[in-house]
Amino acid sequence: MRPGVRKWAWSAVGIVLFAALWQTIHAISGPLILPSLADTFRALVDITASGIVGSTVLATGQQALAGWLLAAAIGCGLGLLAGHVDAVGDAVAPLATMVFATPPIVWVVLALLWFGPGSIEPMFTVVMSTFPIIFASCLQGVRGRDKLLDEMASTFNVPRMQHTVDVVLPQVWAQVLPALATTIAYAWKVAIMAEMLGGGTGLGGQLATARANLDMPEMMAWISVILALVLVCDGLLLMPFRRYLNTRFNTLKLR
Amino acid sequence: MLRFADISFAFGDAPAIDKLNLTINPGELAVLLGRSGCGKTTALRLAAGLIQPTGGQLINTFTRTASVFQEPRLLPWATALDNAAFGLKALGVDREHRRLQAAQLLRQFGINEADFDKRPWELSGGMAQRVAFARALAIKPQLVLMDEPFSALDAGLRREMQTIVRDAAKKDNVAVLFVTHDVNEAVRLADRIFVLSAAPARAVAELTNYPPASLAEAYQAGSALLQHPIVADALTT
Repeated sequence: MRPGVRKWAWSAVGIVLFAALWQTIHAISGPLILPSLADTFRALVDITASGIVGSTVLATGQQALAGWLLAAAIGCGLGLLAGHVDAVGDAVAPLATMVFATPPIVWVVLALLWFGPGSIEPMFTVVMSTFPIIFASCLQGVRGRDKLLDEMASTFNVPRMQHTVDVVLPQVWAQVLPALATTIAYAWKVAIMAEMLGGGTGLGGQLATARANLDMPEMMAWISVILALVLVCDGLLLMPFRRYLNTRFNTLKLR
Repeated sequence: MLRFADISFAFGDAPAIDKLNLTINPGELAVLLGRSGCGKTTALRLAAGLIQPTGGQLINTFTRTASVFQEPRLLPWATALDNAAFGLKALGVDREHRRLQAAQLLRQFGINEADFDKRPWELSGGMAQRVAFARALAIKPQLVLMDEPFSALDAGLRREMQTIVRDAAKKDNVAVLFVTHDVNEAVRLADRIFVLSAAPARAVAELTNYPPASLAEAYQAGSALLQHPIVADALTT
């Protein structure tokens, strides 16, 4: 068997085993704990046919993406400033650590109190949970940059702007890119959790409704939508991204 | 002209340079010869204006000074051509012209067009150092400061680079202040050799040198130089 085929064959074996395990647990513990695969599949067909999958995914996607973009802007802006001005860095670093150490659930609760349910609450939670990661990587990129290159640039009397664009930012970029990749995946999970607890309209909201109705097949159907999304995201967005990063890091060896 | 007049420098309480006197004239290839850790690199950093002397007076009337370091210090994400053109960009030369000028220098130093688009990690050590030298000469400096730039290269490559540096400097009448601990390198390159004492550095000898044409003569001249008591004392004890 060719290695590629063998890999796929083993993946198929894994999926079959997983399905078998699912059915066994269903048979033992009953449909209230775990619905049958057939019921789950039927529920999946139902929600797809009703046409709400697209708008639900879009609602969550908007909150996650808007939050992530805002977090990237805040994290990069603060990180660059803090990296260049030591006083700002020293002042902001402990705050960012505190914010980062705060569990996302705390932000959900605060956001519910501040903004009310079904509002910008998921977005806010995403911002607060992801910007410290981006900030820290940006700060690390600026502070940990190669000082020998700075010195080289200064012997050529490089203007400040060119120095930032041609010497500093490429090094920051190499640090920030992995952080952006990590946080975009994280943003999805946080947004869904915030929606679930805050009665949002997106995927989290659907999960909350299914749970309230004790509709296990629908619950599992939504979970499979989420998993499919994660897989698609990973395959289409993150894999090429990681490949790009690998070549990029290769170029960062100093010469 | 670059003049060190009674220049001293100390790292905190530790003196690195003690009343150093030397003058480099336009178009002259001067070598600072001294043992490792004697303060040669510090002298070069003073000349580049990267640090300020703690005593004495440093006069640099050269309008433009460029530096070549021990490591090539190329931007890892930029191509060989863009690296060579880096200094020209700082001077405000537009993209097309700076790439043309950089390409001409790269060719002069034996880099093939096929390698212009390579990143530093794809270049050999010798090629990377040629790109760094092209980057320095591209801004048409009157003085180039070079800090043991070939110490990481093998002997054959090093000789080749020495020829390139001497030819390029003489062709454009560029003054060079070249730091090395290698007597043979000094003999092959210099119009004038300043021998530095062990730290804190002082100039203990100033010699006029005519680089020998052949390798054998260069080695002979080098070993003769090493037998002089002042040089031997500065370099070997």
